[in-house]
Amino acid sequence: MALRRPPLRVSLGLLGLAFTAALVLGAWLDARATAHRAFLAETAQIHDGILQRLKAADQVSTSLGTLINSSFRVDRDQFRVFSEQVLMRHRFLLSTVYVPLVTDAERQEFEQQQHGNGFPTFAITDRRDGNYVAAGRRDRYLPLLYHEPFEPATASLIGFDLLSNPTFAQAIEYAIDTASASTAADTAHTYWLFKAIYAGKAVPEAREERRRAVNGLIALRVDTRYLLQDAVHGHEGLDATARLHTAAGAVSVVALTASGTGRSGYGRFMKALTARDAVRIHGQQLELDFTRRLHWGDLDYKLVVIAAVTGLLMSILLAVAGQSIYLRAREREHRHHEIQRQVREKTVELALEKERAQVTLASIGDGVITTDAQGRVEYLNPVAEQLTGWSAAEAHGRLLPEVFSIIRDDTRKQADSPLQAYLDETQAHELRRDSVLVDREGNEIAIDHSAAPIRDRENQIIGVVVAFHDVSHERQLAQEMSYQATHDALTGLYNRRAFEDRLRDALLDAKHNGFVHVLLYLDLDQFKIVNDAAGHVAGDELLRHVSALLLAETRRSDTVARLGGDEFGVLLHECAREEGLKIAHKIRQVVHDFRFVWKDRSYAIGVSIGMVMVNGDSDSLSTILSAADAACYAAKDKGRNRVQLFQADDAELARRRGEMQWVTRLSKALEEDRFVLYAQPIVSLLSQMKEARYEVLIRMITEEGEIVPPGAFVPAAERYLLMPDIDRWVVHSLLNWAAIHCGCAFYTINLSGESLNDDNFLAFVLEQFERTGVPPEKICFEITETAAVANLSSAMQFITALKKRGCQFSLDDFGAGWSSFAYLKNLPVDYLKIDGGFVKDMVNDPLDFAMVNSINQIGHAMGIRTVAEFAESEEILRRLAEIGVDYAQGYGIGRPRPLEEILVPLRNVTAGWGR
Amino acid sequence: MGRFIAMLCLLTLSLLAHSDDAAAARCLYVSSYHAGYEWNDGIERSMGPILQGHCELRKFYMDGKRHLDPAFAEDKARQAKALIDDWRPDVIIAADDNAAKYLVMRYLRNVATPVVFCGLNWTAEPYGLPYPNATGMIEVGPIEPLVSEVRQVVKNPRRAVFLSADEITQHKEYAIARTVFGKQGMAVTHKAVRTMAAWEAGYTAAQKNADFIIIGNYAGIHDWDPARAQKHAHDHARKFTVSYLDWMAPFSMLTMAKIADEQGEWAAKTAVLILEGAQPASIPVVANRRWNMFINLRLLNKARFKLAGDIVRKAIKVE
Repeated sequence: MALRRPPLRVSLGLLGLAFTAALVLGAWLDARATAHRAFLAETAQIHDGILQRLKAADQVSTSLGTLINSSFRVDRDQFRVFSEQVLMRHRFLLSTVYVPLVTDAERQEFEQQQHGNGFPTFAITDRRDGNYVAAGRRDRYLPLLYHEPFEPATASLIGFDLLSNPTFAQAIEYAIDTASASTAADTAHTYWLFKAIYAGKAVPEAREERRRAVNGLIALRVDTRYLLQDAVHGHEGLDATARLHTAAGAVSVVALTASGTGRSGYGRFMKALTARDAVRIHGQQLELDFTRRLHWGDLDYKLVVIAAVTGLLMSILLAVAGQSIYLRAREREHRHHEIQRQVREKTVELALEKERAQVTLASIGDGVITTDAQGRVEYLNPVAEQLTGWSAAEAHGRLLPEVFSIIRDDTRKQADSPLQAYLDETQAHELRRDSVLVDREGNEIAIDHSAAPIRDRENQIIGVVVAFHDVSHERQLAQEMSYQATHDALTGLYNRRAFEDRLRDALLDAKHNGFVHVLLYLDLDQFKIVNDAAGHVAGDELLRHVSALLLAETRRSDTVARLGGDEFGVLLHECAREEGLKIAHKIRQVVHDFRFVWKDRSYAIGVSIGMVMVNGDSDSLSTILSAADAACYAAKDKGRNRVQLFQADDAELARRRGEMQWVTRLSKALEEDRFVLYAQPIVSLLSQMKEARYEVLIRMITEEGEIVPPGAFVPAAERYLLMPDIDRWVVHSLLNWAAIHCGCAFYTINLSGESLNDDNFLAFVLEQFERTGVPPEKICFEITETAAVANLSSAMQFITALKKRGCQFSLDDFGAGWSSFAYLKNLPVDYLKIDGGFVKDMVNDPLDFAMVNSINQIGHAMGIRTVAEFAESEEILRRLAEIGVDYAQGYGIGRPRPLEEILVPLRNVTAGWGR
Repeated sequence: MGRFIAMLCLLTLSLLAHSDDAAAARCLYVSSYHAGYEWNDGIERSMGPILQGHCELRKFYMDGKRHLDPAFAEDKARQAKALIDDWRPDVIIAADDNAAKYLVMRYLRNVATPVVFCGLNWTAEPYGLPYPNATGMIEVGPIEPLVSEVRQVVKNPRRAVFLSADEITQHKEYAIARTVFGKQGMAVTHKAVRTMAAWEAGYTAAQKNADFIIIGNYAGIHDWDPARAQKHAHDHARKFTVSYLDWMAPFSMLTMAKIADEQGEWAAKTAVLILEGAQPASIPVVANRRWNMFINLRLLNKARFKLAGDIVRKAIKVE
């Protein structure tokens, strides 16, 4: 494109300058017009000033005439007083004159009268050759009588007959005839103003009457120059010219006034302002010419300057705009060329890129399908052809769902086609991992796929690209891992984690949808016997059989899980209470009827079932499980092989739930080391034993610092298998303490049955002895009769191992449990602790006394020393001593005290008891 | 440089010459009376400022009020003439009748030295004025309004006493008064006195002999006591008293007085005009026109006369 570069800028600049010139000219003319208006306002003001002064002159003449005419006699002094005021106020008035009319007949008397009045040389005079001489005879005279200001220089005017001057006479005649003022030129810049005085109080109407009635006149001498100067005063630089028109109408005198201050520097080319005006009033007429020469400083240049500045700015802006237009055009041209070049380059690049993309698409492992905006297939890469079973040619033009048919892996339902969502722009790019591609032959291939819209330059969607790849192998592995994570490897049932997930869903379902479900918590009875008797393989087999029974007795929609060991959980979905009870009883019955045969031996088992309703009132997952667990064990406590329905107001269940709450507290106390050891003295009843003996007891310290006795938490600890940890804490703490403080004493430590069954517990104890250096001979472990019998083999192993190190053992609560003396033969214990239940009433109850005595005797018979608990009185102690019990402990001897306090020397409580 | 110095010298000489010319103008003021006399002081008061800058002013007093003897006046005139001859003034201002009578008329008539007279009572005719070298202002009292007011106050006035000092101007004044009042049918007799007691006696007598009293000038009464005169006038005031001299207003009920200042002002302006080249003959002899009116309410109330309201309002009140 050919650009007219310089002309455009220059043209716009010249246009701006022309505009500037026009603006300046306009502003200049406006300024001049403003000056002209101001000039006219000035002339109008001067006109008004002159008019007011002429009016004032007229009024003065009228007033003086009235004074003369209205007063009986006005002497010179009265005339002087009046005139002085007038002349002082109106400076343009040079003189005030009173001229009486004197007839020729009156002349002599008139002159003599003036002589008598102090004017001895008075005469009516004419002016001849510059001198005042006695007037010639005429019919009448108008001699000047009063003249103010009265000065020697003007005194010669006294007596001058005005009628002797033709000019004056003409003006006076006019004044008389018209009864108005008339004027007559005097000098170049003064004139006389005449006004006639008529006899009588009114001015005669007719001219003839006026001529007869006139008796004098008032004359005022007016200084035209002063008049103009006074009016023009304040208007600097203004020239004024006044021409007087007399009564006869002819210009008789010219007065010039120039008030210019002589300022220099007026514009040579500035045309002067001129105006002509005229002031007319009752016989006075002044024609005025005004001239004002304009100086440069007379004009208001603000507008001109503003116009010039504005115009120049606009010129600059236009020039800049022109330059900008030129630069933009040049830039557009350059850009156009650049775009063309880039288009060519991009076209080449695009062709290469397309080829590269096609090669890439052909070589990548993912399948790629592109469609147009209507979802019709445009392209398939080789992998896509392979996976879909469609060739690119066959697929071209077909709708995408026909070629790329996918279903959801989890629901097996037709999956949403990615096409429409992307075309509608309602879905963002997303990788889907749950799809299964159904190829042209109907084969299913697990795929991950994603789709994205294809947009043009205007961001309009012109198609969709779908990418996918075969994930069959990965998905199979994932499914297997998922199965293993949620299923019990032994039975194939759901494991605890999966069961809890299902239960959580059921709980939400109950809360949100109002459905009612049933949770069954199953614990096999006598499983341990089978397991111990027939071995773990048999036990595992039994569990698989039971699992099959449970699956058979539940619905497909129900969930059956192995929760651990011989515990199972069944979640009956959407199941009413009665239906749940029915199923639970059926399960219990089926299990009870089931006979497990292993190596030709038949084993009968049972199952205790706790049942809990899962409904909208249910609390949390843990609460439900806790309730089911409690109900299950309640069933066990009630005789096993039972179904126990959990009810919130069931006291037994509440107690068990309370125990469960202890689990949390105990675990936390263990973590925070909030336990303390107490010791209760054990004294010998048979001899003076110097060695101090103590049964070490444990107390828990609550978070609030309160001491909790073991009876409150030990049952729960036993129930929930926390006793091994507690026993470890006791052994650890006591041996630490004994190593430091009182290695000389003898301590007994209670051990639970669970600890005996703990394979690691023995090693732990041995390690503690090793670590602390406490002599094992100073430690006696107490095992309850029940625990020992229930874990007989473990107990035997444990006792044997420690006794070899020197430890002693005591069988606790003997008589309260199995009380099978046969066990004593196999248990190498050193002490029998007679159950306190017999001891405390032995004084009053012969049976108890007999029991105590029998146990004591048997023990002694077996070489085992005896210890009586609950020795709470002197009488008990005495009787115990009588029957030969070796040791006693109880409140009668000493209450349990913190371990630190036993450092105080023990009182010799046995002094009075020994034999 | 030389040209500049020459111009500077010329300018200096010109200024000196101008100064000499101004200093050469001389004005001699010859008063008929003495300094301190009210009428004379009035003339001087207005004359001085006008003449200042125009001429050097010297004053000569003939002291005619305190020395009534004509010989004294004649002697003074001779002294004045000697002064004139010696000093050679450019213009002579002669005030009042003694100067006109004993000096101007006798020694300055038709001489080269211009004379401006003033303060001549009523007429210059007795002195042959005007002369070609003399002009001036005649002193005319407002006698006509005074007569008019007498007629308003005094019922049928027929007799009047002109009580004054026995002095030349007062005789002249009396003559005028007699003429003016005579024209109105009123006979005026002159009581010219030379002492205070005589004045008192004349005043007292006039209370019986006249319908009204014209209080003339006291100047010439050598023992004049204003307070005494005032008290006497008050104590015996029964008849209407008038005067044409402002300084006699304390002793007169109604005074219409000439103004001495006007005389001095006119004389000074005329002198300046003459010094500027005007001929005395071209300046007409004129009469004064200014006068003031005074009333003495104390005397009026004592005599129980009541003047017209407009007169009371316009007049200057004196005690």
